[in-house]
Amino acid sequence: MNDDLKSYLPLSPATLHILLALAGDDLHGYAIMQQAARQSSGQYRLGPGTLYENLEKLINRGLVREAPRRSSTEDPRRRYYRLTSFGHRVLSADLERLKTVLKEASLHLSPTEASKPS
Amino acid sequence: MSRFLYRVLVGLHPSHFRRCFGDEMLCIFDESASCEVPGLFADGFTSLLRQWLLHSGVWKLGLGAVISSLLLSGWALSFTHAVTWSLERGLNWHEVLVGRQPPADEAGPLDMNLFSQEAAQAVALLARFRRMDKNHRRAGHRSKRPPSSARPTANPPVHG
Repeated sequence: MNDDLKSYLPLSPATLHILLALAGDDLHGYAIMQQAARQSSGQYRLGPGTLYENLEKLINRGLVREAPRRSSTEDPRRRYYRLTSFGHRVLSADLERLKTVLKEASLHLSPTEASKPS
Repeated sequence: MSRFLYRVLVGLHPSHFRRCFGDEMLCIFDESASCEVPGLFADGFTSLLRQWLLHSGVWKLGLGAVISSLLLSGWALSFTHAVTWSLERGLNWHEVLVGRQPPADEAGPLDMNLFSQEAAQAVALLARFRRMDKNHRRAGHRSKRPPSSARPTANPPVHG
């Protein structure tokens, strides 16, 4: 893992959900909120304040940038956001980290381990 | 009404955040279902606190105010303790500041009887000094007087 990526990890739950939502397509704020709720099966709900606070941070760090509007008929207040290539690398690095965590957790919490007498 | 309140809430955010994302926050509020409104308000309040306390530098003022109030309250507490301690021991402020312990037989902060006695003694002493000075001057004046022959009579003869 590159040293420049390490400083961004681990990602906070809000950041992870935003980057995950933007990994598929360019989205506007409300769609990111809905995607985050869908990814977590409704367990994690992102509010607009939290969303834009994190988006501002991600834009300043170069992980996300604003994308062009899709159609002129849409609400002019609505803006679209896109994951940058650097943001993609950071997200991939965090997913790798999470995979290692999951692997470690599955080793310790396997049914045979759980059934062992303490 | 709830939209107006949410607009006020968004308007209370720091200006840079409001300019960048205020309209979008209102857009999301307009698109949200009515059951989501309480959650939007809760998130708006949290965001407002975070923006002002963490991102706008106001936390420095808050920290300064907390440290100042702690220092002031500590000073006030120690001052109160010092006053109580000195009053309990009957010390005056000079003794408190210098730190001298009074002898066991020393009177309290101010004994009015003792004070009036000492004042009367001082007045009597002053009066005595004044009398002595008067007598001394009178005696000095007598010694400088000319002999009696040369002295003019008390009642000079009336000529004519």
